Amino acid sequence: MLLTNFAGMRWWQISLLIAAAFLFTLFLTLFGSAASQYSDFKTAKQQNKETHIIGKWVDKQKAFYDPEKDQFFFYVQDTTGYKQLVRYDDPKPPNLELATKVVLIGKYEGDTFVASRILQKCPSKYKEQSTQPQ
Amino acid sequence: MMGIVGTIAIWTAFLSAIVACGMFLMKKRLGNVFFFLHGMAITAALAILYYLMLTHQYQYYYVWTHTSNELPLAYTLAALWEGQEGSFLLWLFWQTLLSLWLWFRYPKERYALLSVVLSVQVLLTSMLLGWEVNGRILIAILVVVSIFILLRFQSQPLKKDFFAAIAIIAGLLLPAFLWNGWLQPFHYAFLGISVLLLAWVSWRVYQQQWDIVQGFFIVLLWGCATILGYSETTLWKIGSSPFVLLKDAMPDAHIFQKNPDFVPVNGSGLNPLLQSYWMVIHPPTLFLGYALAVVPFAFVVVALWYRYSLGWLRKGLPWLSLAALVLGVGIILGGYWAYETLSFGGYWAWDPVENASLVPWLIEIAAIHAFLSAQRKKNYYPLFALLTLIAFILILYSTFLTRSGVLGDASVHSFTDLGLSGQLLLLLFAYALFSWLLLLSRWRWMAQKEIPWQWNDATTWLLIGVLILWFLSVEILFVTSFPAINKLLGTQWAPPTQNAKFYFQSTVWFTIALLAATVVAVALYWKKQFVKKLFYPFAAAVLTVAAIQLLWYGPEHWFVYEPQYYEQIQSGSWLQKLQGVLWLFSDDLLLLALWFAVYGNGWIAWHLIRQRKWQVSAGTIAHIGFALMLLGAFFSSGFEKTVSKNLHPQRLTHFKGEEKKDNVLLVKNFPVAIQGYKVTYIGMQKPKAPFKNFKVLYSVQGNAKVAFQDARGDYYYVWVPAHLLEEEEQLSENTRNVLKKQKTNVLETLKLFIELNKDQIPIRALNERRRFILLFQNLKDTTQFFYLLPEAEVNEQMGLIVHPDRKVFWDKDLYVHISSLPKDVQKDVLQDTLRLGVGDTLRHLPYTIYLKELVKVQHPDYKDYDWVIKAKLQVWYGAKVYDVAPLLLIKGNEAFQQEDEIPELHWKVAFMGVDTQHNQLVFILRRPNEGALYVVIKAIEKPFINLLWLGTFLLSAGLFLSLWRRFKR
Repeated sequence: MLLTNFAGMRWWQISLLIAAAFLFTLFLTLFGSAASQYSDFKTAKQQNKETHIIGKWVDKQKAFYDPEKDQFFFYVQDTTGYKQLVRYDDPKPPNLELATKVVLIGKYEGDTFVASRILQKCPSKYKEQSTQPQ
Repeated sequence: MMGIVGTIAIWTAFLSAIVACGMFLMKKRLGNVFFFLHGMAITAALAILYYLMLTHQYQYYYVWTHTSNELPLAYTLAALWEGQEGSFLLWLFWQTLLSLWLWFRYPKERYALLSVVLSVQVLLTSMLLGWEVNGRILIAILVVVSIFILLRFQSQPLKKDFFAAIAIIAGLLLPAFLWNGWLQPFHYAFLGISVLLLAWVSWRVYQQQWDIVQGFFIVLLWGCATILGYSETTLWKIGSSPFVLLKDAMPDAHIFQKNPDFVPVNGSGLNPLLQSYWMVIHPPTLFLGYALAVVPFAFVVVALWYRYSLGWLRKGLPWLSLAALVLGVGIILGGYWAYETLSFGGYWAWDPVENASLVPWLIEIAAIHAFLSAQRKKNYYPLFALLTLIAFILILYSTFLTRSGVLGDASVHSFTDLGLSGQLLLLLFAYALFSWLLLLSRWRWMAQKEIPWQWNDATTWLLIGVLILWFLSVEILFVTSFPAINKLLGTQWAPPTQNAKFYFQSTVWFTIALLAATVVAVALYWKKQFVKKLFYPFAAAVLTVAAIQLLWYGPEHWFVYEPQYYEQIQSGSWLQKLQGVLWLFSDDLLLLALWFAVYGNGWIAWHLIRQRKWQVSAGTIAHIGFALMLLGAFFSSGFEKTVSKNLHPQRLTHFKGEEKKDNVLLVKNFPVAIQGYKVTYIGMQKPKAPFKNFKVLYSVQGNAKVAFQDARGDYYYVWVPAHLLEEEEQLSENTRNVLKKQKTNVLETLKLFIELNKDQIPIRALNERRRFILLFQNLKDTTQFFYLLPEAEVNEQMGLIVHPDRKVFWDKDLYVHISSLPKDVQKDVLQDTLRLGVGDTLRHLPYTIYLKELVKVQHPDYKDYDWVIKAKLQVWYGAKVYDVAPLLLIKGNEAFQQEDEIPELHWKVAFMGVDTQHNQLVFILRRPNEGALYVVIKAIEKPFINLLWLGTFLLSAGLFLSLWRRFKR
C-alpha cells in the first residue's frame, strides 16, 4: 500500500523528502549535541564538568613540558582576567606561540585545570611573514 | 626589462582574449588570429616568470617572496604556484592548452565553444593586470558597453517593455547622480530592490519575452549603479601582477629609502611546509582539474544556447569525466601529501579549502550520473545541464573562498589576501547569473512530459544517488561557508569544532543510502533480473560484517555501538535520545552497506566481464573503488591505535580517568618497550661522505653559504669563511658575482675544507630539517627490525614542524612522528646553569646529576687563596657514573673558578658560587650539542589504510575507463 503510493511520486516530492531528511540530521548534529557552554575558570571550578574556556596564553616563560610524563603545563588567562595553571597531557601544540586566542576544553582536577583539547585561533600558517628584504 | 615584457604579455593576453571572444561570438574567422595571439601571450608570460625565478632576479617582488638561492630546481619550479598570481597563470596556461585541443578537435563547434572558454580567460587574465584605475571610469566603461550592446542587438523588445526602459535609464542616470556612500542609509531598500529586479528579469527571461543577453546586461547595469553607490574607494586595483618590482611593492622598506637600486642577495624562500615533492605535482593536477571544468560547462552553454539535442551533448560527456578524474586525482594527491608528509596522521581534515575542491567534484560525479539517466529518459536533461553549470560555478566559488581572504583564520591553507575579493565576486556572480538566465530561458524548451517514478527502473535509483550527492554537497558547502556567511550577514556561526565527528554524524545515513543505491542502480541498469539475486551479495556482506565483529572486536562486543550513544538513550533529553537512536548502529550499518556495495558491484562487474563487456564495467569498478576507499577510511580512523603509550609510573598513579598518554620519551640509546615494538633512538642522521655537487649560494659579511649533496643525495649547507672562495683576492660582492666565479679549483678547496672539518663545523640540512634515526624491533623477536626516520624542524616563526615516517605493512601502517624535541636542538654549544644543594639529585635529561659533598681542599698549590672548595659531583647516564669535581677559589671578596671536565662526555663544569637566598650551589655546565639527546615520539597504527589507496586507485581507474571508451567513440 505504502509502496504503491510512493511509486506515483514526482521527482520534486522525492527531492523534498531527501532535503527534509538532510535538514533533520543537520539540525541534530549542529544544534542537538549537548555542547558544553563557553565559560570561565571560576564557574568551571564550581560546576566541575567539561567546559570550553576562551583565554590567552600568559607568562610564557613559566610554561614547561615534562617529556618523561608527557605533560605540558602553562598559564592561561580567561576573559575575566583570572589566571590559571593548565595541564595538557600532550606536548606543547606546535604553534601555540602564534595563537592569538586559545579555547581550552576540559575540566578541573584539584587545583589544576586539565585540558583535554586545545583549539587555537591562529593566523594562517601559509601566510607570508612580514620579512624585510636584506 | 623582462618584467616589462611580461607586463606587456599579460595585457596582450587580456585584450586579445576580449577581441577573440567577441569575434568568435560573431563567428568571424579573424578571431583565430587573436585566439592564437592570446595563447602565445599567456605562454610567454609564464615563460618570463619562470625565467625570472630561475635566474633569481630578486628585484621582482614575486621572485623575492617565493624563491631563494637554497631552493633546489624542482621546488623553484613549484614556487611558481605558491602565490596567487602564479597559480592564476598556471590555471590560465592549462586552459590555453585545453582550448587549443578544443580548437583542433571540434572544427564545427570551435567558435561557439571557444567563445565561452575565452570569456573565462578574459576574467582570469584580469586577475593579473595589476592595474590601478578610478572605479568611476571603469563603471562608466561598463555602462557604455552594456547600453551599446542592449541597443545594438536587442532594441526591439526593449521598446515594447516599459519597465526595462526604466531600468536602463536608472542604470544610466544613477552613476551620474550618485556619490560614494550615498546608498548606505538605504541599505535594505536597495537590497530589496535588487532582489525584486533579479526576480523580475528572471521572470521575463523565463517567459522568453527577453533574451539572456538583455537580462544579463540589465542586471549588470543595476549592479554597476549599486557598486558605485556603495564603494568608498575611488581607486580600484584590478588584478595583481607577478611582475611588480620589489621596491614598488614595498616602498616603505628602510633599505629602499637608503638605496633605491638595492637588489637583495637572497629571496625569502618557499614556505618550509610546502617544500615537498607533492608540491610539485599536487597543485598543477588540481588546477588542471579546475581548468577542465570549463569544457563541460562550455558544452552545456552551447547546447542550451543553440538548442542542441542530447545527442550532441554526448560529445561533452568524456570531458566531464576527465574533469572529475583529474580533479579527483588532484584531491587524492593532496590527501596523500597531508598523510605522508604534512599533518599529524590525517589525510583529510575537512578544512574549508579541501571541502571547496571536494564539492565541485561531488557535483561533477552527480552530473555524470544525471547524464546516464538522461540517456534513458529525456526528462533528466535539465538536471544534467543544471549540475554541469553548477559544477563550474562551484569551481569559481571555491576560488573565491580560498583567494579572497574571507576564510581568514578558519583554514590553514588559503592564499594570502591580495584585495581581489571584489573581482573574484564579480567573476562568480557573472557566471552564476548567466547560467541562471540561460537555464530559465531554455527551461520550457528542455521540459519533457514527466514520467512517474518506477522503483524497478534504473533511472530512479540513479536519481536518488544524484539527489543524495547534491544534498551532501549543499550541506558541506553550507557548513564550509560559515566564515563567508558570517562576513556577509554579520552573524557569529561557529564552524563545528570536531570536524570529523560532525561530518560523519551528519552524512553517515545518506552515505549508507548512496552505497545501497549504487548496487541497485547498477543491477537495474544492466539487467532487471539481477535485482532478484541481490540477496546473495547482501548475505555475503552480512557474513563479512559478522566475521569482522567476531574476529576484530572479539565476542564480548557484539555490536560496534558507541557507549556514549547508549548512555544518551538511557538518560538524556528527548533530543539526545533521538541522537542516540540515530547513531547507535550507524557504524554497523555503514560497514554493512560498504561490503554490500563491494560485493554487489563486484558481482555485476564479474558478470559484465564474463560476457566480454568489460568496457562497460567502468561504473561498477568506480563504485567498488568508492566503497573500498570509505572502508579504508572507516578502519584506519575508526580503529586507529596509539601504540606509544606513556607508561611513566607517576602518571599512572597520579592521574585518573581516561586521559591521553600518547607520547613516549626516548633517550638516546636506551630502548623503550611500546605496544608490540622495542624502540631505540639512535641519534640524528649525519651527512655521509663523500660530498658532491658543491654550489655557492651567496655570501654575506665575509661568510659564504655553500650547499652540497651527501652520499645519500640529501642536501646540506655550511657557512665557510668567504676567503676560501677568493681566487684573485677579490671578495665577491653579491651572489651573482660569486656564482660566476665558481671555478673547479675553488670548489676543490671548499670540498677539502668541508670534509676535513666536518666534525667541527655545523653542517645543516638545506631545508633545516633534522632527521632522527629510530630503531624498531619486534618485541617478541628482536632479530626482526626496521628503521624509521621521522624529520622535524624547529622553525622560529612556526614552531615545531614535523614530517612523519611510516612503515607500511600489508594490513596496516605504523606511522611515527616527533612530537617534542629539546629546546636547544638548534644550538651548537649548550650552556646550562645548575642549582642544587648538597645531597640533592637533579634530573637533567637524559642525565641525573648528584651533588655528593663539598670538601675543603688544602694543598700547597692553592696557598694564595683563603678558601678552596671542591664540589664532588656525580653524573649518572644509564648504567655509567662519571665523577667531576670543579673548584671554587676564594680570596678576600673575590671568587675564582677552576673548571673540571668529563672527557668522555665532553662536559666542562664550573662551580660558580653559592646562592644564599635559596641555599643552593650554582654550577655552570658547558657541553657541545651532539644533537637531541632525547626525542618524544608518537606512534600510531592505522589498520587497513591500504584499502583507502586501493579504493582511490580503482575509483580513478573506473572514471578513466569510462572516458576512454567515450573518447574513442
